[in-house]
Formats: sequence, C-alpha cells, structure tokens
Amino acid sequence: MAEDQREQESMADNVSETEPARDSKQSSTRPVSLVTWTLATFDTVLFVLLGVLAVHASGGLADLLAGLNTLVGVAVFCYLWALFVLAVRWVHRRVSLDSAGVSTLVLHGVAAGSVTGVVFLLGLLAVALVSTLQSGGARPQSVLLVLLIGAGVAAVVGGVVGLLASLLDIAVYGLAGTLLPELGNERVTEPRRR
Amino acid sequence: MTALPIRTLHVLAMAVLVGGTTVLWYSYRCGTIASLAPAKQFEWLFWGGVGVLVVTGVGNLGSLGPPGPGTDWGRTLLVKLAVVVALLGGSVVRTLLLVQIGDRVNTFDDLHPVHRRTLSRAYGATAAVFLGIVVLAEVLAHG
Repeated sequence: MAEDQREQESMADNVSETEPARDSKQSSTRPVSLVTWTLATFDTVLFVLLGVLAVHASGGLADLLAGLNTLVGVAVFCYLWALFVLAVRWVHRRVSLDSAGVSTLVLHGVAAGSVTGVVFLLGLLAVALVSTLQSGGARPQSVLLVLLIGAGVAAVVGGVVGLLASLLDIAVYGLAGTLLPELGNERVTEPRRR
Repeated sequence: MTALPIRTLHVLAMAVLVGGTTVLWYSYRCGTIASLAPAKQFEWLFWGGVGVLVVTGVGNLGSLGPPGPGTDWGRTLLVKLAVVVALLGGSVVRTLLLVQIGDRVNTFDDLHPVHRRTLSRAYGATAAVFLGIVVLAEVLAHG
C-alpha cells in the first residue's frame, strides 16, 4: 500500500524538526499503519458482532452471556483483537492491498487466519489447563490429545475466517477506491493558506 | 460490580465517536479544517473507540440478560445490532477512502474542495447513523 510504503520511505528521510515533519516522523514510527489498524479492528468487531447477532437471533444470548465473566470476556476480546492486528499486519507487510492479486491476498489471509486460530486456542487452553494440570485434574496425555485435535479444528476455522476476512477487506478497499472522486486534470491540491 | 464502569465506558466511547464525527463533518463542510491530518488522527481514535463500544456493549448485554428476539426489546436489539454492522461497513469504507485520498495528495497541502466535500458527506452520514443508534439505545434503556 502506498501509505505503508510512504511511511517506510519517510523513516529513512532526514527532515528538519518542523511541526509537520515531526508529525510525519511520529506516524512513521508507529508499528501499525492506519489501514492495518482499521481493517484488523473492523474484522474483529464484525466477527464478534455477527456471532452475537446469530446467537441472539437463535434466542440463546442471555444463557450464553450469563455463563461468562465480564472481565474474562473483555480479556478474550482484547486477546482476539491483538491477534487480528498482528495477523493483518503480517499480511500487509507481505502483500499490498492495491497491487497484489486477489489469490495472493486470500492465500496470505488463510495462512494468517489458520495461525491466528491455533494461537487463539492455545492461549485460551494455556490459561484453562495450567490450573487443571496443577491440581492434577487432567492427565498430560489427554491434554495433548485435546491440544492436537483442537489445533486442527482451530486451524481450519481460522483459515475460513481468514479467507472471509481477506475477501471482505479486498472488497471494502476496492469499494473505497471506486467512491474516490476523480479530479481529472484539475490541480489536486491548493496552496496552503498563510 | 463491573457493570457501572462498563456502562460508563460505553457511554463515553459513544460520546467521543458521535462528537468527533460531528465536529469533522461540520469542519470539512465549513472549511474550518482543510487538511487531511485531523481526520487521519481521528480515525485511529475512531477504530479504538469502536472496539471499546463493541466489547462494552456485549458486557452491558451480559449484565442485562437480554430477552429473546420474539419480544419487542429483542427485536429492537436485533435492529440495533444490524444498524451497528451497517455502520461498521460504511465506516471502514470511509477510512479507506480517506487513506486513498492521502495516497494521492500531499499530506501537508490543503485538500481539494471535492475531497473535502466527500469527507464531509462521509462524516455526516456516520454521525447521522450514530444518532440513530443512540435513539435505539434510548429505546432499549427506557422502553
């Protein structure tokens, strides 16, 4: 993406410490670009909201939420959000939304989604299982079996989510490009008022 | 015990997002803001606020114990969730539109009036949908 490339280029430039230059430097030192932050947050909240919508439409939302601790729910959401940011950043550092082909983007999305799914599951299981293992409530062999089966399922589910998310991201990026007003041969910018 | 802070955070995040989008709509419309930088800065806050809104919104639902979709309350919630999904779709397009405008123009120059008008409309539409969501939230809270 041009934004990412420009940010990388501006990191190399030695600009004087004027106000706008300082602003540019601050944005260039951000580990995540605005596009990555936007798409990762969009994917995360959409994923959660569609889940809530589906459960509510089936009439089971009250029962589901009653069994969840609020702080645990917040922690799981933040964990998922962070994983989405890392996954989208990984994809955007390798392929560009505006120039890469759809198949390349989708393949990267599926790979990132699979890994994210496994890491998400491992994180949850690590928290849940450590206390169980310490108290001797589960045998290590059965834990390993659960981990292997769970990782396989999580990789497939994550891959599907990654596939859908990358297709959606490509679609909204393309739609934004379509809605971008054409200026023709007019001057693109006006001189700054003093 | 966590219900009050969660609800307060939800209301504060909503206030920031409604206020921010309304200010940007008005500023781009009147030409008070002529560059892209304020909008770009706000978009970081906007998506952070959206994350906070969604997680605190689900937290609120948990403490309320929402009735099923067959009731009036449940149907209103269904409509609210659908409107929020639509808002998210529109907002992601708005942010990417802004980014693509930024890719085309020099960040330090003033925006072309056509771009300014586009951003004004985008923020205006976002603010209007947000106000609709606030009305739905009022209905859910007070009937």
